[in-house]
Amino acid sequence: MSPIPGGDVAINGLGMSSVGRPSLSSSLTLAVNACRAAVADAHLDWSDIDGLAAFPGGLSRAGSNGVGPPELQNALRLELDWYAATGECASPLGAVFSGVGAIAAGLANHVLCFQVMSDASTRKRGLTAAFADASVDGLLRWLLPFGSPAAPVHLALVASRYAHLYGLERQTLASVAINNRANAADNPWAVFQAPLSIDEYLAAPMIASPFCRFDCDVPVDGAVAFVLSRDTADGDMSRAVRIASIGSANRGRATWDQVKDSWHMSDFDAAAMMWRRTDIRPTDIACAQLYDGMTFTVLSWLEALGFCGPGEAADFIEGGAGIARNGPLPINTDGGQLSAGKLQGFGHLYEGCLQVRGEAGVRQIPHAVGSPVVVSMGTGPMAGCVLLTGS
Amino acid sequence: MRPSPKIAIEEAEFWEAATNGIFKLATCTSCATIIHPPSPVCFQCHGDVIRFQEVSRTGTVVAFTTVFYQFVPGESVPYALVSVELDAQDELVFTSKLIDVPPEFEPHIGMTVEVAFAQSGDLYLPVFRPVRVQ
Repeated sequence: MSPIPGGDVAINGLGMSSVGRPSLSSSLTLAVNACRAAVADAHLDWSDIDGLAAFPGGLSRAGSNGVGPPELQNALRLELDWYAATGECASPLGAVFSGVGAIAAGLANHVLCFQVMSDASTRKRGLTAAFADASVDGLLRWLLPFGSPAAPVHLALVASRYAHLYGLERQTLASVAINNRANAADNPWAVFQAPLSIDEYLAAPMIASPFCRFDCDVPVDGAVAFVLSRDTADGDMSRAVRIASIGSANRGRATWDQVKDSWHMSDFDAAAMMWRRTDIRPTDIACAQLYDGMTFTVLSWLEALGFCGPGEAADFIEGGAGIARNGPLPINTDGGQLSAGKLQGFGHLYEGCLQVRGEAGVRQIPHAVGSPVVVSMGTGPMAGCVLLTGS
Repeated sequence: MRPSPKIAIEEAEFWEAATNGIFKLATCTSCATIIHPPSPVCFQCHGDVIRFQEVSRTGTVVAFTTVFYQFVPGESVPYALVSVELDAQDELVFTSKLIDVPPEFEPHIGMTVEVAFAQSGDLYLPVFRPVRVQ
């Protein structure tokens, strides 16, 4: 038994559906395809699955997702002892963390975790679907009507504060986008594979200064699933990826705009917790799959995770050399959400597991096999991160 | 149509005041902490008697962007958006549009602004305008 609660839970199977822009399939089909692949990868049968965790579930707002545990349970007639959909947690990774918790608490032995994205279909119907309600409730009612309707705008404000404190060149943001695009060229499921040049980046339409189109991730339709298993469960766990530590903390002001030095977001809380619960250090990390909903969030996570000090991300990135596959800390080796597609953290976790298992093909970082890999997701009011190691 | 905020009964005074050109924010009656976005409980002392009280209209820009992409149907772009730390309380930030500036005007951090009001549909929203264009 690991000294860390949940430390004896491992990621035992991985699965991904086709990824489309958009997909012609239903979200349920995408979810079932990803789950089927994950269960097969774990060398289990559907009858072994006794837990189900989803982000965010079937009752989420218009714009993304829409398959929850009941719909999947009914489709497969799973015999579940535990299930949950968690829409507001330590990022979508929080759904995985809740599965770890369920196993650690003895509520289940094999938890299937899944997420389905349908952003590309939503956009095809018109982006307005996300704002179809004439009346805005929740935290967004103090942002959207006042001119800050979405994450790229919230984060543009954050980036301006960061730029004021430390300086921020568009070339630094571009080097993240260009790095991820270069990695996507070797990823068969990536939606953007053609190289991106600095000239193309600088010529792209602005979204909200300092961000242009290439600073924003790519909406896709697709699903990713994982099987979490108790380490002592029956069966072959030799390919399992261990969860060495989880970061799920949230201690500051969980808003987008209410902290004066607002670049210091919940990713800093999550990262501090993850490192507090392990002896592994940032210098031990072989590669990192960092949330790139925007290019800027990679800078934020590099600093939150202590790969460099506050304001030092640009120096660390070194025009792209610092984060390339042959650099000191390879970042987003599958192309990330900026180029592979927005699978909301589950894509990052999938690639992180492939790297630890040594199954990333031409993208494989040789020294990542069996080594510590960090995966992070989210920012602003909700963020989470996880430290993976080999079995 | 442009989405408008749900007017909760306990927050109606914020909007009524804005319609009359008055800037009121939620304030804890026990410890005088100003709370934005409004909350039914004070994050400082957990007091639960919250009233809307008029507060100082001036502040300093702490973050800004120019929004070029039309996220919301009917929104006119580009526009300048600012997060303003209000003089009324340390780390009390209000995010809204900056008006009375030329198109694509880039605000700057440290700029002094004051609350004004702009009509949006049936509502009046607090926005900001430069105290002096610098």
